[in-house]
Amino acid sequence: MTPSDPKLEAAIRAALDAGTTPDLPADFAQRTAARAVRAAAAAPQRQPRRGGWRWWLAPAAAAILLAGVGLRRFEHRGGAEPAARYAAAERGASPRNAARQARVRELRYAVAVTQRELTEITGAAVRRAMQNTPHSPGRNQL
Amino acid sequence: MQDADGPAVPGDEQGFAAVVRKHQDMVHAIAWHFLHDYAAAEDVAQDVFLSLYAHRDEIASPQHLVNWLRQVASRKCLDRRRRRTPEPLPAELTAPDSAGPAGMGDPWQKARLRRLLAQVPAQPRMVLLLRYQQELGIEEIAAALAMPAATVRSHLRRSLARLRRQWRKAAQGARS
Repeated sequence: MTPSDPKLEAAIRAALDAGTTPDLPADFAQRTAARAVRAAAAAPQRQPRRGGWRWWLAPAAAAILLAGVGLRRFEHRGGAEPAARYAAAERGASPRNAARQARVRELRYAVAVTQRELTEITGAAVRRAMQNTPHSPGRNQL
Repeated sequence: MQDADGPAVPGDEQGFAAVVRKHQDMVHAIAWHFLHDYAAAEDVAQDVFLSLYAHRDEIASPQHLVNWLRQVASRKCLDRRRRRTPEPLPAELTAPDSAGPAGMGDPWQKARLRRLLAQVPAQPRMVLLLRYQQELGIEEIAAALAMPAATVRSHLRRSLARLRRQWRKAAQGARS
């Protein structure tokens, strides 16, 4: 609500009275109109766009860029594993925390896969080495 | 957009000059009371009308024209104030005038209030100007300055409180 203070408001109206505004020069309107018309005539006319295909390059580039940013953001927020996010949310985690937990889960999974692959590679290497060692009689014959 | 009986702002020089003549006092009053600089106010008024000519096809009706002029004049004044440091009020405004209409109060008080008004920050001052000089409603001021109506109300409330406080202080100082 605007406070009502009639005395102060009347004083402000009196202080801002339009009668205190100095007059504009008599030829102001004519001068301004002439200048406006001149400026409009001097302004370069907008040319109609010629036919072509380049006009869509900028919007297409912008769309691709936005799609890339959106995808990256989607992945960053744990969109790659919505099920894990959903499960974390079910456990009472906030959306941000759920996304973080999903990312951790993905990383753990990736680490586990790498470890298993490493173990397999190492195991195979050890087996091969064992097969070739002179202290394992019989194996060399295979 | 145009009315059936012709455009709200004609494109020919004479027609446009008539439009300028009709509204120049309103536009110039906003600029003058805000900037307190005759040349700057005239510049702003001319700028406003040049913009109007460039956008004349967008003006739908005489009421739209008045709102558009108030809006553009207010914005141009605020832009100009942002670009430069405020200057002290000219002597003719701080001196008591006897030219005011009869019954409008003590000329000394008027001069003092003008001085106090000049010290109000730019945006609230424009709100005061549109409210008490142009007699606009809250919603109209909000539309002209592109701000929420609640902000206009709060500018008005704070500015009035500030003016009331300063006015009383000045009156006490004058008495003692």
